[in-house]
Amino acid sequence: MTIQKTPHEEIEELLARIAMGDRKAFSALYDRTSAKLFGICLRVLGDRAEAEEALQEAYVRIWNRADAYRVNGFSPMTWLITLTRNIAVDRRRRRPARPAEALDLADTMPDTGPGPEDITEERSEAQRLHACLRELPDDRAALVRSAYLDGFTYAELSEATGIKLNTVRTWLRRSLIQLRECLAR
Amino acid sequence: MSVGVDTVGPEDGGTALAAEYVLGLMSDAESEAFEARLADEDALVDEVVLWTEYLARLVDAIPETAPAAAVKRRIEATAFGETLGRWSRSPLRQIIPYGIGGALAAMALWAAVSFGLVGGGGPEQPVLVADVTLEDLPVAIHAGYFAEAGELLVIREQGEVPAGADLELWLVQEGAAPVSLGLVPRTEERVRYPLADVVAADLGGATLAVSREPPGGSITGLPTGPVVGTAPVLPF
Repeated sequence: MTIQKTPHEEIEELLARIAMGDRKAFSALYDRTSAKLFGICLRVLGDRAEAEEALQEAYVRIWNRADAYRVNGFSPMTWLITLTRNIAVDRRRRRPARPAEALDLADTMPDTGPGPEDITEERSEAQRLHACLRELPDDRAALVRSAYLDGFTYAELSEATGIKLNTVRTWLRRSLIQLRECLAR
Repeated sequence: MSVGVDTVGPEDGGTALAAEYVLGLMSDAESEAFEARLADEDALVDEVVLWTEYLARLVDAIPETAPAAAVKRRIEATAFGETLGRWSRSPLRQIIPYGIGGALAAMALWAAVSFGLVGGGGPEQPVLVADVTLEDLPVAIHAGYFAEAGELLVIREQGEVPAGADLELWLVQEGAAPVSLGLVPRTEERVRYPLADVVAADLGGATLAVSREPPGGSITGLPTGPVVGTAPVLPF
């Protein structure tokens, strides 16, 4: 009888093999994670061609830096997500300035919670996060989401919401502290 | 990994700072100051890990979208091509003396390294390239201008940016002040800089120069440190 590996363990193993230069493992990791990571690039950049470039940069970095994954102490999906999100955000911030799209804090993404394939530990983290976000006023939760998912700076958040810069900063900081207090419970 | 939730504690200003750091909301100066604290405060590191883990869960709400099949081929060609390049580049450098062979070497390297021609390559090719090796520093830099994207791709192909300094790229034209193109990437091997059309229009026939500058680059808009390498910008 074979012991079933968790998705977490499988991705960790793929990263370990990639660190040794295993191309098949890289191909398998890509097949497994690219739709999720491409979704992130599209969300941040809002442009398919740019998202593809960001995705390419992310996977080339994964290929070159898979050996660095262990050092940071993150779960494997967190490492992949964070690396990709930050590449996409960097690209968005480097491109010539254009007006931030209006962000309607009253009409933001529903809190759908974790997907079915999430593994147990990550699911419990996700559930806690989403429960704590629901404790915040809707507009404050939307600010937190936008800061992460759109990669907006304080100035962009202010422009997109029409709320003064200092107010946005205060609201977001307070919301983060409130969120953290809830997560610690 | 499992995340301890009562490390620094929410009452400490550290937690909001850690979250801002993870979200990328800090200015460069704030980030540097925070990173200096991270070096000494393990609890703050835990806080950064905790925020990174939790905030990454926000992407669960983003719909998954499969990229086009060509993207995978391009990625593999680039990733694996670079690996091959590690072995194939150095011998080329040994046999082609700089100067006369520089342009040829630059083109061969661009073909093999940057565009993954090994695997068929992509449609995107630079229109202009420059290939700079530095005096006194074991650093080799390739730059390529992509007209369609309006971007300059800068690759630090060999060597490291020296600690305590930055290397800045300049576009130099006879009779005109140098124009800063950006810094040579320190942690990454490559970076893309969007170029203004007026700058891009001057690229052909100009010279790319690299100067050694204080960390963060020249604040005067002109080179302040020694020029450590130059190369002509040539058609690819």
